[in-house]
Amino acid sequence: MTINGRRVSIDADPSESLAYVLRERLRLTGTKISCDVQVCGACTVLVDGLPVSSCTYLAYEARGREVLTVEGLAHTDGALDPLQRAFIEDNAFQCGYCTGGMLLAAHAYLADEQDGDSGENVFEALAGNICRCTGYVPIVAAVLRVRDG
Amino acid sequence: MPSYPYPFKILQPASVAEAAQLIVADPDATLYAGGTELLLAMKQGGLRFETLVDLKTVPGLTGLGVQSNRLLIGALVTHRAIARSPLVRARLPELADLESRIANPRVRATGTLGGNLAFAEPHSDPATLLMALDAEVASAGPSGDRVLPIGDLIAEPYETILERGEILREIAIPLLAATQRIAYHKVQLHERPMLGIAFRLDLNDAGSRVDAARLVVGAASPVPRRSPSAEALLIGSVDDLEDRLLSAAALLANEAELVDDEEGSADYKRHLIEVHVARLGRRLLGSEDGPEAGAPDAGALVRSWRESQRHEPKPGFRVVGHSVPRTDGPSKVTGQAVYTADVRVPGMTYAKVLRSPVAHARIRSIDAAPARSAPGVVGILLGEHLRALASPRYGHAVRDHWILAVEKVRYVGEPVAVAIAETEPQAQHALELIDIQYEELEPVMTAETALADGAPLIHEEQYETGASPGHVNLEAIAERSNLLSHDLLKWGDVDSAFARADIVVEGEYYYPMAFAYPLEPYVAVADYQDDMLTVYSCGQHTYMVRRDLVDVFGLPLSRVRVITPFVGGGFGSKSYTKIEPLTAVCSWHVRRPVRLELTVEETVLTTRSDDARIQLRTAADATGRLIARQARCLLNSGAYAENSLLVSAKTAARLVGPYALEAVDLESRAAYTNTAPASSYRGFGGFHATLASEVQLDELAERLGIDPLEIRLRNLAPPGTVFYPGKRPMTADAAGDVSLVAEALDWGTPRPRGRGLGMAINAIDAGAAPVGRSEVRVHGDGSLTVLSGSAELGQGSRTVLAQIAAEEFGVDLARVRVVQSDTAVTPFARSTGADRTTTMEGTTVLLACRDAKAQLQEMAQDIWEAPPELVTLEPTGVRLADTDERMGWGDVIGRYFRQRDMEIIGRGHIRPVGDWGLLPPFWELPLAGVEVDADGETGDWRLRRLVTLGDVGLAINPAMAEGQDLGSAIMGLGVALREELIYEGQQLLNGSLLGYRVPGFGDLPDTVAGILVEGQDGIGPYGAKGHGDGSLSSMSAAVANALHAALGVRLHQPPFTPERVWRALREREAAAAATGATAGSSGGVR
Ligand code: FES
Ligand code: FES
Repeated sequence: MTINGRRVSIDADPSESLAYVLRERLRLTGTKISCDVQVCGACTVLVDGLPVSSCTYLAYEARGREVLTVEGLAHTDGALDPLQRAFIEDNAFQCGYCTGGMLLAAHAYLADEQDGDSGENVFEALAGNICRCTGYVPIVAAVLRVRDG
Repeated sequence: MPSYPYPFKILQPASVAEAAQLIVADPDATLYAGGTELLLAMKQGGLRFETLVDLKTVPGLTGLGVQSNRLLIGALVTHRAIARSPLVRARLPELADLESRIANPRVRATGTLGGNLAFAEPHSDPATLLMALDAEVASAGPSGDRVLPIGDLIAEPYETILERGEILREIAIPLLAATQRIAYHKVQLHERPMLGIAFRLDLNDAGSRVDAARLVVGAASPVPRRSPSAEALLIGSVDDLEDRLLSAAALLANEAELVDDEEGSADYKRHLIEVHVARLGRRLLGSEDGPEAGAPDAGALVRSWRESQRHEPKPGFRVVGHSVPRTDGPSKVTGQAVYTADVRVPGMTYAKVLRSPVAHARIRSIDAAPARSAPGVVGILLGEHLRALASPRYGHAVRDHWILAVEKVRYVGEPVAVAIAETEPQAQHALELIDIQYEELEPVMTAETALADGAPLIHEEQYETGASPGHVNLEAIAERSNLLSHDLLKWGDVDSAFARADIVVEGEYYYPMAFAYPLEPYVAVADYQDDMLTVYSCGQHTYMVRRDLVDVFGLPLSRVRVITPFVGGGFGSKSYTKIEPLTAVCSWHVRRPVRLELTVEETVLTTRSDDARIQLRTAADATGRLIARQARCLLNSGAYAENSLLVSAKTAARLVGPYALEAVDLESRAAYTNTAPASSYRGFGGFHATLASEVQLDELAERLGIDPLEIRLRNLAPPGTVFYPGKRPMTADAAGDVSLVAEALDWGTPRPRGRGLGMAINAIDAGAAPVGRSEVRVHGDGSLTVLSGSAELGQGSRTVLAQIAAEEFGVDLARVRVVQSDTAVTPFARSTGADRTTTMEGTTVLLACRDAKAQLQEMAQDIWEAPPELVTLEPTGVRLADTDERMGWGDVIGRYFRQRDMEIIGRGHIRPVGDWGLLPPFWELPLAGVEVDADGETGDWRLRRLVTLGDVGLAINPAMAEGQDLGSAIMGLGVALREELIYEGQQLLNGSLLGYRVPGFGDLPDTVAGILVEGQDGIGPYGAKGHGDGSLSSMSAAVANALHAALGVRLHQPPFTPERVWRALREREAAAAATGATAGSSGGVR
């Protein structure tokens, strides 16, 4: 599979979740595990641009596909993505445990918005991601900052 | 566990026939489509398969098109693809709409419609609507192809009539004609729908008559149910259709086999069916709009937030008072920030815990021999191993907490054995080989039964007090009862005060057990070697964890190192010691580093919050002036003391409120029970008490005909007055604060029925013990390292402490590094909680900076050989008076030591004497105002507006201060809405995120406003005072008061679920009917 633009070849057991492969085999620990039941979204990564719960989603499913994790959001020269900058500017995180997943869910939403009407508003697009710290409004503010330029 | 508990293989058939063969050939195989339901059930142990047959490799199952006026959807088309398909959106928008609301975007991206139907999870949407559409499914199987009406497909929950090897291929849905209309409505409280209703009407060409109808209910019934009798009733003229809707709904409800469950009672579901069938019917007839047209306005919400954030920095400050970006921002948005869960130590092993399945039992025997020789196992830790420790128990207040159950278990979920292995799945596997025999004892599940005469004893032993006993009184335990603590707060003559009162209001209030749910579950890594212990902890109180570990192992303080990396949220639930002793003992046992990470389910079983039943009476005079309060509180504190003694004491103390009462008699008792241990949760005692005190205040106001705002303004203790004998006078302008919130809510402007305002306030003695120290190293280049024992939980302490140091030395934030919470490196900090870090750690940092500057000043005197009065401090260095000679901080160090990279250390501490001797250091006023919008038929409600206020003295970082308060308010909203841990018998019913739903984006109000009040009147740096437990404590009371304003019902027990609101409405109607209906609305508009 391709992870954050880098081709990697992994010999994983079919019963390994994508999060397990990312965190334990590749040491990409920006992807967090919290609820482990597809509810909280802390483990969100994008596979071919679509958000999945990597806590449950099998690494097997990502074979031959492109996986984007929070470690791959910044540009190759190290410059932060506008969304990452907006998150900092709007205080869209506190503890940061939800942040990787939140950024990727927001990233997918913004990509959809660019492609035209997805039929989902920003609340619906992020509804599967839980944050216990911020009260959400700063996150919405950051996402709209990027969306509306 | 981030991987699956046992291995399985995946086969990739090339055709439907091959898939069928593979399934028929292997009894341990199952079909695998999107996996969102299957994998979850496998992970949770509900289902076990050795082989998954992946249908996604079979071509031809992902088609989506129209043929002969039917929409054909391949079984493997995802919910997302259906929701977004232009074809579906154009031809069957109701289906696209339903699909776009299933679960969450991630489930929609992988879950498939065919998988959903084949799994037949009852709490699901699609089948209900598809039945009303007369959809059919096509399958292929060993006995050939067939086509089934969807209603025949689902036999019972999780069971279809498909035979083994029969594979669902396609769903065919007849498209609707112009005269056919369909609507679907779902009701959802937790993660899955509790009720779905699909309603279809086929009209004649003139639109005057219903020729046919479909009425289907799902989610509330075991399988989706059509009601032919209800449908028959709907046929006929549309003119009087509305009159027939209710009878049709009743028929539908009768046939639905409604049950009472954690989603709601059968009664309430029946009522919802009636309401929603009528609403859907009217919608189909065009006489009523659908649910609120248009999406909530995210732009308006964000604008309201930004407007309230406009903030003028205080003059004279460069860094402090400015909303500088968080210094941990870049690491947190790039995934580089390291939390305990990310720590790996060479040679690390993994632990998994075997937990008690029974609430109260003697352990008769444990057979762990087979587990010891299981693959990868390095050790099995049992209670018997604890004998070699200095203490087998820990606890900062009472040392009653067995690290691992010894002889007895006291709650379902208590750790009984631990497997330590090379990998986590190996440890998990080993647990299955441990055999434990229990002799069950009678369990005691509630505080009331625990304290009843003759109740079985949960703890037979006499325990010693812990290292931070507070006011612990162990006599209660010495008497051998289940009473954990008993507090009585008394002043004045309560009897005479109540006798003199013009009015007395009383009531019983109940705040439920809740779960703080920090996203990071409990996790620890421990390494015990050469009688030295290093522990990575996710706890808030690094140094208290060290103390408990020191006592467990009998080691000196210097030999126990506790490091707290970034913490993924604490909210009080990570106060004190949790799994660190267990992890450390595992490492001591196997002499290897050990990592123990709990799941969220295990985390709930480790710490929840105390519930509290509060009987409260308030006495007042005719003008609404409060005179006295009397209360009896009872808390269910679970199997171990943890911090519940303090929770109980604070529940009583925080019933005083920010009011000057002549007399109080406030009693609180906490009981041991056979439930999960309870402990701190953000502002504990505060939220318990505020619910009772502030709802009752509104009740008093109502009885006296005084506006709720007015009664507060009349009673709030003015700044500087003593309202709580023996404590610090009021440190804020509470009346001013309340007025600001009222103004932001347009208090006094009449609202239509269904809308209402509410507010609540309290005074919390925050800050905990005023003791601690910090150090600041000034380096040879003038840059700074701040050393603080406090932890960064997300609250932003790392940034705030850096701001203070940067301000003091006149340097850029980029030249300051803050090192935190490592007992081998940083100075002692008592704890990180109770809103103490900015005020107390901030003060010690400030003092350390000033100490360093004084040293630099002296060093400059030496360098310049000048008398003290001639060397003055300037913002960025020192100056020789009356000259142009100046030195920066680094120059002083370099010249003094004649060594460029030398450094000096400034130290600052506080201790509980002088101004810090009077407790509390500051009063925190949790203050929230809300506007709710409530549905008088269903009891459903949502927030329209939220106003929070932080009276912070001075905000070192205003944006972060406001963020704290908003986050706290939304957290508090969760319990008002739906959060409540429920025990059924010995078991916790909803200890996972599937059944315990915290607030999400969908719960946000239309607008929010965060007000900061900065009177520079705090004891902390530059007049700051703590803040961060925030508005949570007031949210339930504010919402209850607003619901009363909206609907005229009084609720005393959160969560205020729609069902509870509906019941209250019904009771009020019944009462009104009984008293002749003239009693008038007790609600009124405000
Ligand atoms: S950890 Fe995967 S959704 Fe919560
Ligand atoms: S920032 Fe802590 S959970 Fe979102």
